[in-house]
Amino acid sequence: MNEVRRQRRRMRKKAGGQIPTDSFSDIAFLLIIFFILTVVLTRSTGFLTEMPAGSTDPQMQTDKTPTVNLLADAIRFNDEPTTFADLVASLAAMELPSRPEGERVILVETAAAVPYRTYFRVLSAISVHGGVVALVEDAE
Amino acid sequence: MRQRRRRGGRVMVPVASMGDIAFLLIIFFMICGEFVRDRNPPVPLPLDPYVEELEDAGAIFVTIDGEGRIFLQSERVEDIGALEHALAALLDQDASGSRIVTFKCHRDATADVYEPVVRAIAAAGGRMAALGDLGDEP
Repeated sequence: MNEVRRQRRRMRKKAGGQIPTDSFSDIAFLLIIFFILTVVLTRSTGFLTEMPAGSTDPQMQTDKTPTVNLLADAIRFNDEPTTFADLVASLAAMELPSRPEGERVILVETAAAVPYRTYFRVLSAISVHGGVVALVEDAE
Repeated sequence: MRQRRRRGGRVMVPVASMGDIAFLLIIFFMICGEFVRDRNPPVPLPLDPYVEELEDAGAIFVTIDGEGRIFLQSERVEDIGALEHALAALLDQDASGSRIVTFKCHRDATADVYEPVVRAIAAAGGRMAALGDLGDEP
């Protein structure tokens, strides 16, 4: 009888106040799986551009405002036919970042059949070289 | 002194540090990753050598797929006027104040499809973050 009491006392001493940590690694791996499924490691690439809102006032569209006309199979800059490489060179030569904000506007007029990849490249080139894109409104 | 060989000896793999390894991996993913916010359908993007990594692509997503369908926050939008109003409302609610609208468009879409959307973004007062892939067109 005394032996039984001594054994019980020993078991109570051993079991005092321990937090079972066996399942911690299971919880951790579940959290890992959650983050693996919900997280995206790749970042988006593109360009950020500001575009003036509202309709273009014809009086603002002066002869001096650079204009890019996009046609289905051609690009014109200030009414002269050009290539994409020459357009980029022209934009770089204009040194737009050093100009006041009002003089950095580049008008873009697009024909209906122009694919988005051409439009994207032109807008990207204008934004990278410090220009502000303004869209030409269609005449009603 | 003779050492006794254990019969049927089992190989014990120490797993005490597995929890530590797991928590380190969790911290890695928490710091390096970002949650997927764009639920619009994926589209092939145009290639451009001037694109840069966007630090903040915004939380408002507009997508045009190959069939000319317009999606705003994974819901299809039929009317450009409705798109402009919805964008204006979302931009007013944007807590960050950046007013960025992330725009994805199929690389072969034509101007009669994408240009009204671009105008709607401008009219709603948003700043357009156009997504593209780094590369050069052939």
